[in-house]
Amino acid sequence: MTLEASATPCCRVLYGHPLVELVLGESLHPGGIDGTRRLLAAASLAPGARLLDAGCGSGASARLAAGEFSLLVAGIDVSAAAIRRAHERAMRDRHAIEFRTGDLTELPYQAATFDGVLVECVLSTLPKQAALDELRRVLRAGGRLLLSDVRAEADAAATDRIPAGLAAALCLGGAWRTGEIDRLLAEAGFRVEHHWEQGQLLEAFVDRAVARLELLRVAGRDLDLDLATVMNAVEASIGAHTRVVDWRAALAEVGRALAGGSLGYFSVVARAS
Amino acid sequence: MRTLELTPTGEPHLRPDGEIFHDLTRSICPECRQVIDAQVLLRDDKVYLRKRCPEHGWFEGLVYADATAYVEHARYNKPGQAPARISTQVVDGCPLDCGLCPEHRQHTCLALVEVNTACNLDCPVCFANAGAGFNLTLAEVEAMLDRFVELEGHPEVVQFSGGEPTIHPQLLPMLDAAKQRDIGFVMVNTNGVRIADDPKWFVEFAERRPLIYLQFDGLTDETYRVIRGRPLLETKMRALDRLAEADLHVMLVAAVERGVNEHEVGPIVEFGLKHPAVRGVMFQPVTHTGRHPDHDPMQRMTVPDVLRAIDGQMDGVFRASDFVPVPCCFPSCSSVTYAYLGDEGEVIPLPRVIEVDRYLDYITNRAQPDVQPEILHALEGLWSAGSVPGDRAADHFACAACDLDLPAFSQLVRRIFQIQLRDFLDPWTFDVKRAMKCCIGVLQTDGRMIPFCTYNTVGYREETRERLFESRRQ
Repeated sequence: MTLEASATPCCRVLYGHPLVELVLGESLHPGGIDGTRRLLAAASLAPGARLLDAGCGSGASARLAAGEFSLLVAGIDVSAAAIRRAHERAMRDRHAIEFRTGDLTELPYQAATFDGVLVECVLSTLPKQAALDELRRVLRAGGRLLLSDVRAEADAAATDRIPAGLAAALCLGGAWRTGEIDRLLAEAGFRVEHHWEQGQLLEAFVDRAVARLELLRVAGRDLDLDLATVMNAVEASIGAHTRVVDWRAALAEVGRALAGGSLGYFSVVARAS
Repeated sequence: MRTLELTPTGEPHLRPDGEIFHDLTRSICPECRQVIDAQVLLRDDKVYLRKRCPEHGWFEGLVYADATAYVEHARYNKPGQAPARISTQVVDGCPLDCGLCPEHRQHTCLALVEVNTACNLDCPVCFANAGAGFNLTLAEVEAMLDRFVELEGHPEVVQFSGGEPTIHPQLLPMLDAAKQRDIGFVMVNTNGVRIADDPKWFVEFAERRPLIYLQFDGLTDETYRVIRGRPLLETKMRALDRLAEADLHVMLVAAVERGVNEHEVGPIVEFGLKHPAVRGVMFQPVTHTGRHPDHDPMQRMTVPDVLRAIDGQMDGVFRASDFVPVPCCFPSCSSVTYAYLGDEGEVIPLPRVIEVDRYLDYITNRAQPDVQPEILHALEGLWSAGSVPGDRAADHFACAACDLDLPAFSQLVRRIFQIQLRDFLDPWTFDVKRAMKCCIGVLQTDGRMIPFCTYNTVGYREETRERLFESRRQ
């Protein structure tokens, strides 16, 4: 299994589905809310600054940015279902956040609208350069890009051993290659200010997702719940191999790839020139 | 006993440089039980307690074999909750005013009633130092249960213990008395000998449907020979099969001793997962109170040692990272995990499904927007010294999993398995800070409730025994 062959856009197809949120957690990305908090803290945006959460899902990060960091937040996501939930939850927590449905490569905002753009585990599912150009366009000069995503080395034996279903679920096909990070950001007009790696977050994330999938499968069977429809949908989206994946072995491979450095999860704060 | 070596000037021979003076607390002299200051020291990623008695010199003992975890676990310290009533006043200070006195920091999750001192075994290791002494009367136990309800309002768990409670001639009416009162769960802590050997009595016993804490130290006769003085495996198996037939729920309780049965920790869990009567396993590092063979307080088993044993012996079925400290008591006293058991042998630990550690973090994360109160409540129910395996735990599990937003999960009343690690204090490790937040108490005939480790180490047990023994001779 090579990375290129596993380039099925996983979460992009299904990720508005509640079951995916259920399996991956509301934040839908490694590190969850703590990873987002660290990213927001590193960017040091002033209270009242305007932030766009690009690919906001159900809005967990957007609510954090509005609540704990006192930012003026807008959120956009390709999934109408996710945006509906984002609306409801922001209302529940009394946050004034403007959510809308839309495409990251064609943002419905004027140039230089935002002081910051947060984009977590999203660019690996998109044409990166085009998306980065678009994010740069809506940022004012001197604004900050807050980026987290999966990093994987092509043709590394360790990542090739990760079973297809899991590789697809992790978007390894679209993951960033080392070297690509600095180059693509520079080409889009960003200068990297902070860069840190948190591979252990990815491992914990996969671990939790595997446990949740397993709990669904087992509880669904034991309790005779009708989970077949949703499970089939997940399996169809992340590859036919999922059903037969030995999760424990798959996790061990992820652990090995992380330890060897051919797989990782990185966060970057970059300044728009 | 172990004292530090003295230098020619009479000063203690100090350990090498590099230890961290983490904390100052109070403890007791293992020789004379006098209350003295004690230093909590971190060295080689382990936690030690060092103290000096003016009369008996220096003492040092291992407290926790993972200093990183010990320090980090401070965040699992749940704010205390006062009991409905207290029984004594502060006069001499902790631990001499038990109890509970107004300075105690927690109510009682689980109360013990020690109905007798006699036992049908004569183990080399016994924290209760069982032997001749007293039998409580039914009237005394009824009064103690009433007092428990008075102290707690709606008490969670009462555990009948001893001695060996099953040989008390009035245990059955005592169980009835507990069932008749507003007490959540009734447990019996037993060695299982009578359950195995007295089928006629067992029928009546099983009708009361108590939860069983069955002493179960391993799967080899050698282990029982060392810890209990005779081979008992066959007896334990017979007891377990009988309990399964009667559909009673069992918690296996293993005393873990270094060099004796630490290699059996994983196999005991594996055994428990498969046995139809077993709902969980409790590991208790052997405490050096009461009766025990010679031991080295610097080498004792602690909670992290048991965690490492589980991690190393279970091939990922359970991992050390699946365990989270119990926040109602002091976090280093106890760690727990739960798992959902599938019909085809699947084991899914709850902390891998839900971020339990986030929810039970009482210091860092109080203002978190994503902490849902109903899940926190459910997890607090599970991570409590009063949590018992069974349907109520299953309800909590289902609610904790309601984060998953699947209404059908409320049907999760199948087998939920619990593994609990609980370290009791001994005269070397006794720490007033931990004793003051203890939520396991021993009910007294005079209406007092004495925190369990204080009862065992400071001298209350001996006092009670003498008092009750004397009162029965008159």
